[in-house]
Amino acid sequence: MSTPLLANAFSLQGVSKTFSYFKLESLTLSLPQGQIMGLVGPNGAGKSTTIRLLMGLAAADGGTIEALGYRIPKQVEEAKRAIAFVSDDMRLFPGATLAWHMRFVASIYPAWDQMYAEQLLKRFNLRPPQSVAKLSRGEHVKALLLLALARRPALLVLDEPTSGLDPVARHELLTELMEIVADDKRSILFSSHNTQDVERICDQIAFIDRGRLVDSRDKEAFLERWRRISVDVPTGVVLPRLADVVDLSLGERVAMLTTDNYLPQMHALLEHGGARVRDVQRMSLEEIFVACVMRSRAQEPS
Amino acid sequence: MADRPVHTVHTVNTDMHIAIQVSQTDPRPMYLQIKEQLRHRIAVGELKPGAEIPSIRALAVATRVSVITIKRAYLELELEGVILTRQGRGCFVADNANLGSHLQLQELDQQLAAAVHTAALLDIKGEALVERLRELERRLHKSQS
Amino acid sequence: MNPSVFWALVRKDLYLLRGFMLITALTGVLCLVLISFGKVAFAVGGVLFLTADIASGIFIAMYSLLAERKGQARAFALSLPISGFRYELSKLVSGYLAFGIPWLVLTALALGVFLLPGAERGMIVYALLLQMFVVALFSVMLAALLAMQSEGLSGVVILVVNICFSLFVIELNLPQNTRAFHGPAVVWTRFATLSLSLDAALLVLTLGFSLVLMSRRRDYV
Repeated sequence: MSTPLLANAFSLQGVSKTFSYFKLESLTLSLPQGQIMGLVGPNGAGKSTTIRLLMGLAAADGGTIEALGYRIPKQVEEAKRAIAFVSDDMRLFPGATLAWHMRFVASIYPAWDQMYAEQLLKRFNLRPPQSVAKLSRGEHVKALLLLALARRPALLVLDEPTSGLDPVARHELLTELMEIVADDKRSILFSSHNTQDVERICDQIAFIDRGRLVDSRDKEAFLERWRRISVDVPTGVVLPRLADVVDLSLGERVAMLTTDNYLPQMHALLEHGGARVRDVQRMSLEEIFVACVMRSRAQEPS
Repeated sequence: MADRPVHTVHTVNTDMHIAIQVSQTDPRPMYLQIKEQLRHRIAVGELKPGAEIPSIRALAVATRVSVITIKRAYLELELEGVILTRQGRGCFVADNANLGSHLQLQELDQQLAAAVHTAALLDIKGEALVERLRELERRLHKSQS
Repeated sequence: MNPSVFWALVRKDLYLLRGFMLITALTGVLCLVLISFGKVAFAVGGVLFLTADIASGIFIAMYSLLAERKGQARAFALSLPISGFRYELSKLVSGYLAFGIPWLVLTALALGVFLLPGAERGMIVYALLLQMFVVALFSVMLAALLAMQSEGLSGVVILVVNICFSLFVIELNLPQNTRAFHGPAVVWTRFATLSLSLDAALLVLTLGFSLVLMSRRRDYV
């Protein structure tokens, strides 16, 4: 029997969670198998809370969560056998060495790949006899990533994985992440505020701000729909009102439009009124993210 | 040119996807960079008609660029008749005898189109633009002879 | 469900605490040797023995529970295929074991010392009362630390536990209580049975409290 083709690596349906100081509202999000999702948001937006709910470390007040087909938190033990999770504030057991941790993790996961683990030791420049208490922050993150990668997880969940890493280690990590999705059954969810990494390797992108999902779609759709249009507006000409204009900054002679649904017909509409389209620019993911968040905050009832 | 020793290294790259590079500082979107590099390889005959090219996932791993981006590049190349994807068998350069020269012409058109666009911004149009091109051609010939 | 991860975590705690367990047991042995060298040595040895006893409890509870939580190693442990409840259960089991193994060695040795020919057999009750009270206190402390999320409160718990211990030792050494211990035979006074019943009740209550609390906890943030 073959597994269904469009299985989800995970899905959250209408998930909400209230802490005394923070509220996550009706979050719906899913990742098809074989893809990488980037969870992008400012500090305190709810990225870590979302990931903790998915990992069963906190129980949602409402909604349903599934990971690799298992109900969370009810079947969290089964799910976690095939999920590896690393967050940047996670630490190993301070009294033991990296070699001990490797044996420890290997004893728990039958899929542990010792050859791959040894390759990663070299690539990440780590020494197994070293006590983890003496590792630097970057080395610690690399050690955690090694332990996560070498267990060959079906779903890898990373909370801010690149934040403590030097550029070489970051490059190595992105390479290893892409190696994972060479297998179309394996998936990755990672949160980051480094939009450059997200823009490069992610298939799906979710923007989150103030406990709400601002937007979520595949990366190409994001990049394709958002444009900045600079327009010359001769005196006496009034710019027509266009749908899907997210932001408009208007000078006396020039205007800059930001749209989240760019269509070539916009040129004709703008020029019909006498304005002249001077330039249409694509936007980087970071620019799109900022625009998305600003719009969402403007719409928020205060 | 200056008289310093020139070291040339000849490498025959049979593993073509290694040579494809995607830059995040390039203003062109990543899918376009991949498309253009593949087209270029086909245009100059580096990739012959019928040759197998890496699968979407293999190229994604090699270039460290998301699967969805490579997929988009392949999809557009397929729609343009440049490559073929055979379900379960792999991806191939289209079996079109004069695909190479056709693509080279397309590449030329793209570059000219960009030039026309820039010229328009400088208000150089029509005959003036053509005259500028002729002048440029004359200068190039002179410097080569 | 997955006993191997549970026991792997328990083994991990015992491995990390192995040095401490060994030192506790050795200190205890040393103290018991010291006791046989006259009156002053007896007092010094006794005090050291009690310190080793109670300090090991405090250290184990602090290191194994608080340090793991504060140092974020708990986050790593929770990323393994184990539920939050079973993770905390592993802490409870490893806590009792890490405390219990050296405790058992010490208790056995202490009882052994008073079983030697010529020793006051009545002291067996004395030693037993002390050792059982230490276990009960440890159980209270473990349950309290498991329940508390703030570090300030944990400090208060440790302080209270210390005071309780001192008070108990004073009470135990009151002339009307010690009278029964200095004899050639084991005598079960009313005080002794009351004290042991209290210990047993505390053990059962704190264990039950911990289990109920753990089964109700939903967030491990």
